[in-house]
Amino acid sequence: MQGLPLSLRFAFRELRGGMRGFRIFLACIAIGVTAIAGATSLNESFKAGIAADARPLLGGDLQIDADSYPIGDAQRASLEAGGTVSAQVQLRSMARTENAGGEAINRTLIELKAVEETYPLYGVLELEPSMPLRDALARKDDVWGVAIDDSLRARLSVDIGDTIYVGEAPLQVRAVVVVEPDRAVRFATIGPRVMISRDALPSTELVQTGSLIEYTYNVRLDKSETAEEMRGRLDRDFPTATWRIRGLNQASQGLERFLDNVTLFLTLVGLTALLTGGIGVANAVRAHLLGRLHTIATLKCLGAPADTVFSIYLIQLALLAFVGIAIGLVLGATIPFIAANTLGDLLPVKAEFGLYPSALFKATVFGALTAALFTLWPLARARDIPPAALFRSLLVDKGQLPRRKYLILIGLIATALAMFTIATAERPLYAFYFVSGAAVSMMLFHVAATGVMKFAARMTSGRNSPTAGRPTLRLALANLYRPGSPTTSVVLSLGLGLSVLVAIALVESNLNAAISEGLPADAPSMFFVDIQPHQEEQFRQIVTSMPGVEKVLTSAMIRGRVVRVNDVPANQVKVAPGSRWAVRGERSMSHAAVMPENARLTHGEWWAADHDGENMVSIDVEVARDIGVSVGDTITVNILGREITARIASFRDIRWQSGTMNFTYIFSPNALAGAPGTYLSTVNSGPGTELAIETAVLNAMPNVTVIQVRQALDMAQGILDTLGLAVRMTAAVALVSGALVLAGAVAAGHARRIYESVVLKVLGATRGDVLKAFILEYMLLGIATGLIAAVIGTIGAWGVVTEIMKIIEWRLDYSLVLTVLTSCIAVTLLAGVTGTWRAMGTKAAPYLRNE
Amino acid sequence: MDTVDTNYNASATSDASSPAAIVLDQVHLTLEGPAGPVNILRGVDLNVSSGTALGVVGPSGSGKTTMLMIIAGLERISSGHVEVAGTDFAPLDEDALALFRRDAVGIVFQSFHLIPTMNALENVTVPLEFAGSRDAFDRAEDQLKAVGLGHRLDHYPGQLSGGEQQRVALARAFAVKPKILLADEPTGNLDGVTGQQIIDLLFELHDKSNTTLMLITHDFNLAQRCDRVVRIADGLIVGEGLSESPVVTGR
Repeated sequence: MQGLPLSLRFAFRELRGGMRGFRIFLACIAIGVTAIAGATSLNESFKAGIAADARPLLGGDLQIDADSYPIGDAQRASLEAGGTVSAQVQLRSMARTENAGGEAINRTLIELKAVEETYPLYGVLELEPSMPLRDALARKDDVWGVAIDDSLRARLSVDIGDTIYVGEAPLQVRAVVVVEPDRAVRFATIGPRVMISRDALPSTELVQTGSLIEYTYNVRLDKSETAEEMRGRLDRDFPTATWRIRGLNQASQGLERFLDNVTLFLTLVGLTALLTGGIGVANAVRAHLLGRLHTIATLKCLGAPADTVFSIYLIQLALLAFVGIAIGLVLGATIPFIAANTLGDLLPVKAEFGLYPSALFKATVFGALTAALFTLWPLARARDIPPAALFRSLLVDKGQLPRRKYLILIGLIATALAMFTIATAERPLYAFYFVSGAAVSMMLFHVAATGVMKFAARMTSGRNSPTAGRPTLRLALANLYRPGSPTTSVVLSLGLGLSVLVAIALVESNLNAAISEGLPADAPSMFFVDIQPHQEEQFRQIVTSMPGVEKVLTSAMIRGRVVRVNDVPANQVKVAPGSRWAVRGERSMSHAAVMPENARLTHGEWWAADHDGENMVSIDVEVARDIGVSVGDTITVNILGREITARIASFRDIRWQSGTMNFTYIFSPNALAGAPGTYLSTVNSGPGTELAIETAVLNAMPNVTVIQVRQALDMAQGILDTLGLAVRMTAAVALVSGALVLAGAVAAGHARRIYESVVLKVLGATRGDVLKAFILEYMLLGIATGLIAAVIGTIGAWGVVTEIMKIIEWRLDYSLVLTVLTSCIAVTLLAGVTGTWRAMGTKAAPYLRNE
Repeated sequence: MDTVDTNYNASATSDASSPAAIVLDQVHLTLEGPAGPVNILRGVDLNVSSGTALGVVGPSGSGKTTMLMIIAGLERISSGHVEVAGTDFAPLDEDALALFRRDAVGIVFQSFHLIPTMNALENVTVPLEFAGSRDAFDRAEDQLKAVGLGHRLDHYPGQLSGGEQQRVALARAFAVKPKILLADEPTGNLDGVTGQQIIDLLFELHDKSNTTLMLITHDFNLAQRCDRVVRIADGLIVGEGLSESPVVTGR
């Protein structure tokens, strides 16, 4: 390794000139590294926050999730043997205000939580005005108290001291819930929180057999037993219990999964930024080495072996890359701190801020691999510059490939980058999709760029070409395909960033459309939940008597869980991740004599309307495939402790998008005869009639819950809009890299532009002519890049929308694509004109003097 | 796009009425250098009649190229009067000067200055196209044939030898049939034989077209081929003819 110190010495000597030429190089690396380091650090800090707050978030040391009915006394006693127990009951219902005459004034959907006195076992519940929860929920003058979400105050126009009604119970608003320690972000939140005492729950009369209710039991352990010991004891003592026991490591699984998804997305955006920025890195390296051609040739003339030359510049560029990475790491590590100040109250968890070495390590590896990937190519080519180049007036970049060993090395680095991306991703499959997508896109963009250059060459060749008599147009086109033209790098980098943006925006617009307009005409306008069996007849009468009602469908809804598939316990059945929900936990099931609409029988047969005999079940074809069953197999479900086994009679392909009611599991009526349940009903009604129908039903049966489809959709739209904005803004990071590459390419072309403008001026071109030539050049570049990006982005979005999201009706938002296209042209033009303006002002004479 | 199209002809006097192709009258040029103002030209007087071949000799830094730039309208003077091909430069802005060059001036440089992204034919076509010539390509082809490059039309500058590139530059300069041809050491980058060929060609074209030629050179023999020679030193014209030996610089 005698050569190393020498190379090092030379490398440093060469860097004395400063790093001015490397601003784009540094920025390109730093942006991507910042994004990845920032996203990963943020995730880590939130996870640390979750871990630190695990007890309050979970609500105890252990949580027992007990479906829609309470656990038995023996079970409760067993829990209490381990520590303090706090049970809570959660359900969705309606809250309303009434006038003196007992008529409802305002109504809204709420999430009701009935708690015991021991609540919360961990953490602090903050109320406004400040008071003990016990006082807020206590019964005073025969009225139970209630603590509500601030948003409910506005929705029902009530204030502290007013009375609201939930089910049959009047409740006095005593406080507003400011902090609920065990309520993590719930994006699926349908309504504001209403908290009452568990003792007040019976008076609402909402708890009836089959109602959609969640019972959970939190346990604060005393010292006698560890969580694991207690878990083991419960499993031993109650082997058939259908409850799910969650420990501290599962305190906030939903939130963690959400954070993981966000992190994955941000990491992929960061990676896109790195890849687009990589083009800028390669350009900067090429420009740097081009400026060193004479030095390289001179060194070789003086006896430096090619490998020494290679290591001199490798050392130099590696040092610079690490400067870029370091900048990115510093910026990325501060992102959680910035986020703390800006996001602080939006998130339910306090992020635990600090340095997360694993996050920084990950970002460093990504940065280093990308830098290496994009540096090696031009470097390996520079290695082979012949010393004789020194004696030629012009060093022409012939564009030959690097030597094979470097090609192999580059291939290995690319593979390592891909593997590292997949291996470190929270969702390896998505990361794999991304890597393949990125590789295919890069290839497509390269092919497209080559196509643009060939086209430009064709357009200018020959005296009968469209450019004859238009020297400025010819010059503009020639600049698109000349050796060292910015076409490939701008199309690749800006195009890649832009296509990501196009794809995301199009996916979003399709989602929006699917939500706002995409509902089929036959979709119901409202859902009624928790209709008791004895109310079904009355419900039908009320609804059908209302004007505007077009269709009423009711189905039995029974809560049950799958316990066995063909005698294999459900928790041992191999299930594809997409359908895990179908065999874990409690599900809504139904029975029907006739097959419901909006589904197609794919396998087997539907039973006769008067079927009697063996229990039969029809299931969703996708679930059937994912749990690996066929027609004729059996499924056993547990409904309120009773096990029912049914033979699979058929699979149905359910059109869930239709928005109408349907069930994954539908049994033959005889199978569930006598099983306690409720009825679910959908009502189709003319516009503007919904409120009257809701009022009529709820006045007669206050226990029923209404979900107005329009309102639910508006809420989903609202969430989507907020998320969409965030997603688009993040995706813009990739675009920033693309813009940097463009800026770099424009800057690199500065000398050329000056030269061309001088020669053109000598030949009698006015400033207008020169300006026209350059504007045309960048406009053509912008049009080409924008078009290619629009096409590739659209194809990507189409794939996501139709294949992954399975939205049937794909729509292309032309105005959106057009906007992106125009912006792309505007950006390239702006960059080009800015660069050209400076070239224009240059005096010709100095450039024409003899050397 | 042509909003800056100030017509230089508006101020032009008739070509025929003025026998002088180039008139410089007390031309001064002072540039701001890093160490204060530098007097490049300090009162140059020159009158070249139409059709003359004028040789300009002088040491490096004497102001030869600056004078050529001024005559080409590429450099503005600090004071004095310039009239080329009957056109007074004083009222012309940058674009008007460009249009003037397009119609009246051809320039040949030591470093050729071809546009690297265009082939030989296209390079010669450019000034014709700027002039709006309908048969630009045919005329350019004729001109390239005239300089002996009929077989190199499709070649790019990078594919041509130095001598060939300079011939393309000559063809380009003569393509618009300029009244004035300016040449700044056109053989400086070429070997002796090739340089000789270029000079022969230059004088041949000059003789055929009756263009006024101004040739900057270090070469004593070359200067001798001109109708008239001026010597320039330190920003002033210091003499006429080759009676005293021309200053030979170290090049």
